[in-house]
Amino acid sequence: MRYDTVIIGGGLSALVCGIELARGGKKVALVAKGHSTLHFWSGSFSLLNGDKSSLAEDHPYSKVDDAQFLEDAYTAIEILSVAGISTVGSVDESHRYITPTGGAKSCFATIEGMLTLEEAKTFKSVTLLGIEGFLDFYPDFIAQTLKDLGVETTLDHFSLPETVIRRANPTEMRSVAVARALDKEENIRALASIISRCTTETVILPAVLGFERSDVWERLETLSGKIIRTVATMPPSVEGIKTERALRRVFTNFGGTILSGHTVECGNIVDNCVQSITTSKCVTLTADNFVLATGSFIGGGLTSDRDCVGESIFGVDTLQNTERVSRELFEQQPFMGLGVVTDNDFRTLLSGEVVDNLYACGAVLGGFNPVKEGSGAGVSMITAIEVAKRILNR
Amino acid sequence: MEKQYSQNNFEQCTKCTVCTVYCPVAAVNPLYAGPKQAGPDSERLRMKGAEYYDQNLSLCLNCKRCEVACPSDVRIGDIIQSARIKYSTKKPGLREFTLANTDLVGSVATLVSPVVNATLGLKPVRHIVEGVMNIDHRRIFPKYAFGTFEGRMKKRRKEQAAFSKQVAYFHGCYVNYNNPPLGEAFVKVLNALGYGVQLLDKEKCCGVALISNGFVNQAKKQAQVNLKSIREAQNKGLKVVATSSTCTFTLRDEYKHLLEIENDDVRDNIDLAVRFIYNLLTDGDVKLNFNPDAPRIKVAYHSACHMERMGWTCYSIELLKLIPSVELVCLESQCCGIAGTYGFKKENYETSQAIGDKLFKAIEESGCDYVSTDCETCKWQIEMSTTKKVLHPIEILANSLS
Amino acid sequence: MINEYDVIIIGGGATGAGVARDCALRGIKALLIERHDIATGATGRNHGLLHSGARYAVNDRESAEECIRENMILRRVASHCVEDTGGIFISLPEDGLDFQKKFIDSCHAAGISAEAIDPKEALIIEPSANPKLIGAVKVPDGSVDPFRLTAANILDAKLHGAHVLTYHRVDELVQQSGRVVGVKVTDTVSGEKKEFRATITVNACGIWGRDIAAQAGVKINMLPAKGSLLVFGHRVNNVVINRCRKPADADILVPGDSITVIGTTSTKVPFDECDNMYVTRDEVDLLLREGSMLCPALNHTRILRAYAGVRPLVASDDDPSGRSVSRGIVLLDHATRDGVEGFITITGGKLMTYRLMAEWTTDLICKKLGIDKPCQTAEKMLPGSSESKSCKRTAGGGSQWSCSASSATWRHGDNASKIDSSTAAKRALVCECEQVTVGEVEYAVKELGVNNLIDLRRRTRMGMGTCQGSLCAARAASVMAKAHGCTVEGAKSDLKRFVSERWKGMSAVAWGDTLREGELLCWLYDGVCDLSNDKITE
Repeated sequence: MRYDTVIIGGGLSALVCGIELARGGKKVALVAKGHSTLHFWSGSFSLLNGDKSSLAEDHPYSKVDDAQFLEDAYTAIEILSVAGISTVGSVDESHRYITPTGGAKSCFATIEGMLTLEEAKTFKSVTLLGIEGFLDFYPDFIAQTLKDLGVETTLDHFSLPETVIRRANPTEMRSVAVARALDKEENIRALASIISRCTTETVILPAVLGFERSDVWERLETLSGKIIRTVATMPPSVEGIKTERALRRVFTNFGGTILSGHTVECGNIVDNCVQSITTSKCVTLTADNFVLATGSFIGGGLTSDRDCVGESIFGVDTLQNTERVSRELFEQQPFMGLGVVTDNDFRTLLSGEVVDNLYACGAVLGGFNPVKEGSGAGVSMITAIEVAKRILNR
Repeated sequence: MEKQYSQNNFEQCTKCTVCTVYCPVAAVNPLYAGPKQAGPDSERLRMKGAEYYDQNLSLCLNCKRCEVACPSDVRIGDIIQSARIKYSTKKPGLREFTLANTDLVGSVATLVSPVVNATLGLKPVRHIVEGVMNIDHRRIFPKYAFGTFEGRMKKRRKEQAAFSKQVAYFHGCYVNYNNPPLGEAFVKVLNALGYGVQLLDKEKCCGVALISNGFVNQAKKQAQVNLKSIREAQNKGLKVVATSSTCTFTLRDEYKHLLEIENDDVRDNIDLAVRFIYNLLTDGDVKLNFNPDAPRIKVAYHSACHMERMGWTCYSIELLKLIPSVELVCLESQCCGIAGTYGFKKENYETSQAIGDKLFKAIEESGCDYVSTDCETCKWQIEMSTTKKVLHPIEILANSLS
Repeated sequence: MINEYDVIIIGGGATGAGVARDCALRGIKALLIERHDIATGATGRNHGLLHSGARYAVNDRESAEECIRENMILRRVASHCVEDTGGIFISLPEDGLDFQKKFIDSCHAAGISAEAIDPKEALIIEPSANPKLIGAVKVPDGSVDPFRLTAANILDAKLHGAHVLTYHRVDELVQQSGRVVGVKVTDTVSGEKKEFRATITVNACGIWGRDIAAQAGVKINMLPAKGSLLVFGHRVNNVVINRCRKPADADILVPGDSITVIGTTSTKVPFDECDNMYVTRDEVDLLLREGSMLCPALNHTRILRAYAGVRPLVASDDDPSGRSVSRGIVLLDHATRDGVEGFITITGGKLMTYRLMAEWTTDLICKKLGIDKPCQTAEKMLPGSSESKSCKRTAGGGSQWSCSASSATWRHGDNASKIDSSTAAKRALVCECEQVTVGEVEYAVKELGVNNLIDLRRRTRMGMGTCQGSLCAARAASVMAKAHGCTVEGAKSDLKRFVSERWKGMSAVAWGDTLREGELLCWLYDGVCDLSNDKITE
């Protein structure tokens, strides 16, 4: 099958790149191995803790000048809003989201309605409403944080007939099961009446609202007369799934094609130019340009054995570290910074030579530590936008 | 670098929970443990002993959407089906026998199809069927054709042999006993492309229903018969093409993964009709002449589960896009709930319909004239549960030709 | 708490727990003091092999005889901690078959059944064994879960009146006129200082016993021997596979519960490394290279983690050079050996002989206390083991929670009936890989002396499965916080410690799927949850 551009990957970076190219008029196919790391996501988009100018030379951000960088960040938010994902926050000033264990982490955009530290401080009193038997949300942890901020916090939990039925299953009482239940009108009404009985004006719930219908939030607020905020749960992330789904929809609406469940098994490179790729489903794809947006180790873009780290499809050049790990989990982990090296146009290298039509964006790139820098979502989106620009300008 | 695959595929699972989001059964039936638990999690425990086998694994409808969703290439569905084959102590009964033996039942029914169709259409009869067989009375049976497709093709042997290029057609039970016109549409399109169609020397039911109903040994026997015929066709230089996505998937993947029958030598030679035709049209110099006066129709394409698992929905979609008279809408890919014989069983009826509910609504809202899908059982389910008629992409293509 | 005891036992490994139980059963008032949790030293850091003794038959007949006797006893009294997997000793072409004959004869001489079988039969018994094998011998090896075994001993000791203090560090042995009369300790959680008195103090501290003895002015020549092991993601083999040759590194592959362990290496290490050991790259290479000779599939199996333990090798008293070491049981009565009254050291030996070591020690205690009561530990079942093994096989019965019910029975034997599974809330799974329910967590906290998540892992296998806690740790922390009643701050730092500890074992084998899992762990706890920043700062 033939396309203008084939993007390998199905996560945030692949989708953003795909949307940019598709709305730029390209015929784009996205080859996704499975669903993406958005499934274990917080609901906030991080950009960078600290100063861009202090970053190392091989950092992906260092390939983007400051003005472009800002413009790209705005484009990212614009893409999200085209997909119907409303966010709060701004590129110019970071804010902090409340983490599932009650921490506060810096970011530049947060899904509207999710609790931020800045907003939490403005509340006098809140009710934290957990769900009985749902083990992936930690009201006690979050309540402590709110109390430390001086917010009067009441802890409570609820149960609906359907969540009780769901609990019969010892394994499937997860965020998505609850979210599906809360898509139903009778459950929305029942929950709204529970919320309306809370004594505070603001009620905080786990982020499990509006899985398949978009008006759940609004309905709950209208019916209960309260302000509702949410805090992320442990995986699967309902907000992440919604985001992935929304971006996929926009991409296909712009004419993009998604090949799901395909693992790209090999690529054919002739004279530093990718000719075609072949997937595990025996589909061969040809295109003018290819984009690697395959993610890091967890996404499968990078592989590792005892001795070295490599890129999994083309074997293009990657950074290598003698020390791969730190024994202390919460220290800087060298492997987090490993990944593909590129030229200044985000084109990959094969044995030191630029592969003319193979770009890389997102977590497959080396030279940045998404966790310690707080740059995961930012690198994914900004490099995707940069790559799309370069392909459109060819 | 060499890819690091665990010998036991379930170990690639990182427990990321992605699969649990996309299981159509767990979404509606809290009795089912979900793909992560039923698959890789418990597989590890089943190695300790058979007592870790959970009978509720039979609720898995083998749609393999978990595998399509998995970012770690874990063959979750295969793990679950293999565990059922290995550990299930439930013996299949009369109902399973009847549902699984599509060949046997089909050959009898097609002889007296008007009687069968009329009888199975009667409410009291369906209640009796429910009482005796545990097949839900609300389920509408596919109608049987009068005379088989094989019978019809016998008469056209000479005519088809006249073409210089030839393919072998794996028609499947559904075309043979219920819907010979689909087979005829396939022949029409292939003829238009300059290919004659012949049948395999001997074709048995692919065995998908036998596997899911616990008749593994019989499935293996039938698989051997089919593979022998396919090998013979391959030796004659013939591609084997099937219209049914499920038959194709079973022949190509389930034989090896579930029945443990080696088919590597012929796997690449077994193709799906839409893919075969699309590749002919885009790679070669053949062309189809579309009827400029064909009525414009709006078609909603439904991606069947096994079609998704094969990764070939793109071929149906691209092929339908080539038809000038078709306005195409792609429905969000989701299971329709029937899963072959699964939805026929009384205990699964509610689950089956609940799974399909979202799809049915999407179909009604799409404003389409026809729904199109490559899977026959999806067709039964959608036709029973919506107001729309369902056509195979090949039928739509055949109808649009001059 | 009463501060006067007959016996104080220092060390909460299998031996110390065994002594506590033996004493309690003989009506001796005993206090066990452990500076960490139970089974944190060498007890919890070995193969978990229920030796048949065959491994020692050729070179050390005495050990071999001890092993087979204890093997048979443990099968009876600790049935829920033991799995009768059987074992095979395989000969590879490079080993030849010369050793086999001598091996079989030596086994028979030691009373160990050893039957030469056809290589083909060996591969039927254990399909994962190296198909190149040229000979095999069947022996009654098995596997034993050291955590369960220690916990069951502690449980029974407590049931019979013993007191147990974990997280208490011994600061000083209290001595009066050449006699050890008690201990001064610090509660390492609260920081509180305490003092206990007893007629006899038992040093059952494994390699750390050298330092305890030194406090009484007693010198024991010990040699720390590090042994490293690898844990594989699932049961690769169902029968213990040994190499039929002179015992060497990495020649035992043991299936234990849901995983398989290969080990061990053997290196002398300095004493200051004993508290902080990690597995080196060379050791990992050696374990994999030798392990794949036993079972080629290991080359393609996910390694969950690596760990190492220290064997307390004791130099013979009559050899001041320290070169001649004994792997046998060493029971030192410091009254006769060193002129220090009221102080006994029990060391050497192996997990297999913990009960016998406890019996000898308690016999000596009884002699000193003038008590005439026989040892009952060879006959009396441990708690959890009183019903027949068959309950494991029938538990659950294929229902929706049969997996967790079977797992709980496997772990706690008949005590699994004490786990509350009456409501959906109690049946909810905390750890999905190892099927640990909320009810089981609560049971462990209430009955098994669990203080934190790492203790909980030792009692229940929570976080010991494929994901190594990446998906269950936060859940467990929250359930624990409720069951244990700790502060949010405490629960969060416990969570942090737990995932950090899991990562330490993974980091030594951080490639392939293990690195992917590690990235997920890092992503969730350092990324999404931001646990590295404890306090929200302005």
